Amino acid sequence: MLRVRDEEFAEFFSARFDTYRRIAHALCGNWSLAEELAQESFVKVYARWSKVRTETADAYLRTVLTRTFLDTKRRGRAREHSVAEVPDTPVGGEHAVPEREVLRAALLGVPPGQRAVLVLRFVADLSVEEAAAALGCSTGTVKSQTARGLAALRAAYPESTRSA
Amino acid sequence: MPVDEHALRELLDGPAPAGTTSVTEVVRLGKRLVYVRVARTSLIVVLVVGMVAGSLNWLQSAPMPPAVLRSVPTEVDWPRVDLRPASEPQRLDGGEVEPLKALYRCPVSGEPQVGYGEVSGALLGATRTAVTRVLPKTKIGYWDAPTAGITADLDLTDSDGVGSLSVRSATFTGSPIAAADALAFTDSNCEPPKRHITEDGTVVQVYPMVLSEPIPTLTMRARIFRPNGLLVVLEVRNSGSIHVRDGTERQPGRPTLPMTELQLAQLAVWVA
Repeated sequence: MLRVRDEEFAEFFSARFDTYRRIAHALCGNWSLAEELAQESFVKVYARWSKVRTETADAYLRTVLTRTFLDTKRRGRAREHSVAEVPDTPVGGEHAVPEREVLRAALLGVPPGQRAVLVLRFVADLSVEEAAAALGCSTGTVKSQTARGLAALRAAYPESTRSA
Repeated sequence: MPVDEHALRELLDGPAPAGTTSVTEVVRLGKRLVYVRVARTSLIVVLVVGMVAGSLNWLQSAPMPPAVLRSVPTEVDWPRVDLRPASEPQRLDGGEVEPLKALYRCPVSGEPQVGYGEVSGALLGATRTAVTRVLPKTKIGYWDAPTAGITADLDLTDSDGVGSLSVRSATFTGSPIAAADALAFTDSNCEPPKRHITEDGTVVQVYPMVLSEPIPTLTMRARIFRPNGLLVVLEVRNSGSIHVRDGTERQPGRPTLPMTELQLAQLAVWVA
């Protein structure tokens, strides 16, 4: 019985871990922290695997990941590399895509709550209802937070890049 | 690239360092998390059960009001007669063994004499029946009337040894209350007896335990004064037939009486 459970979870893990690690990276902007957030989320999913099952595991995983990220922000565990000024030259080496890194840096300038909404809605490509379920709030809150988050994102975006 | 919310989707793409988390590690940590949750729940349950058990234990060991604590009363709650003995208390040498020591007597003189007669079979039968009801766990012997039928003795045996009950009967003149008052200290008791009057006017008096001499023998009596002039004396002793030597001399018996004051009072009311 336990072996079947572990095999199911291993399949689930293999299919999703990289995606959720990238989502976590979009939230926090740090690969080490993203790895930690993803790992912690999958551990919590495993602990409740018999209850969440595969049908609801994705929704539960999104909820756990988002709340774990917001908890780290509330506890002051912000280990992300905060960027006060968006760099003129995107980080990531000569093979990095400049526009993507500029956008990523701008996203990190958005407040965590609004950033979480933006990531769920546009990076994870969730509907308003799914994002509301993941955050444990109303759809109206998701909509308003989305609008504010986009405004904050645009404000954080470099003028020169914005007009390009 | 414009600031388009749909451009955020591209953040999922692009180069990324290789992940270091293995499913084996996640499963290991997940099992540990399950174990911690189970242990925490078990600890809470144990603490709650412990607190409940401790509370119950404390409640059981907490001091109770006297009426609750003394679940088996030994003394009858009748009022004592409002009289005083005519003489000063004299301390008896009852030895060092409780409760024989520290007993006092108040000798009486000039009290009315009563003439004891033969105890009727009806009285003995009623008394023995009453004893079986008052002392259901005591082994009850058979009446022995060695003194020309004036006194009848009954052995009472329990886990503490052999004691006895004797019955005598006499006649008196006057009202039951007056006779009871006149004989309130006839046992050389210093403390007045406890009195109960039944609906038909019978006076029942239970006397304090006294010490008989010369061989220390504990004795407690109840006297029943019936309106028809019949006096019945019930005497409880801490010795029985096995303690009688040479026919009359009584040896020290068990350390306690075979019945309590309350039981003697109940017995007297049955007989009355």
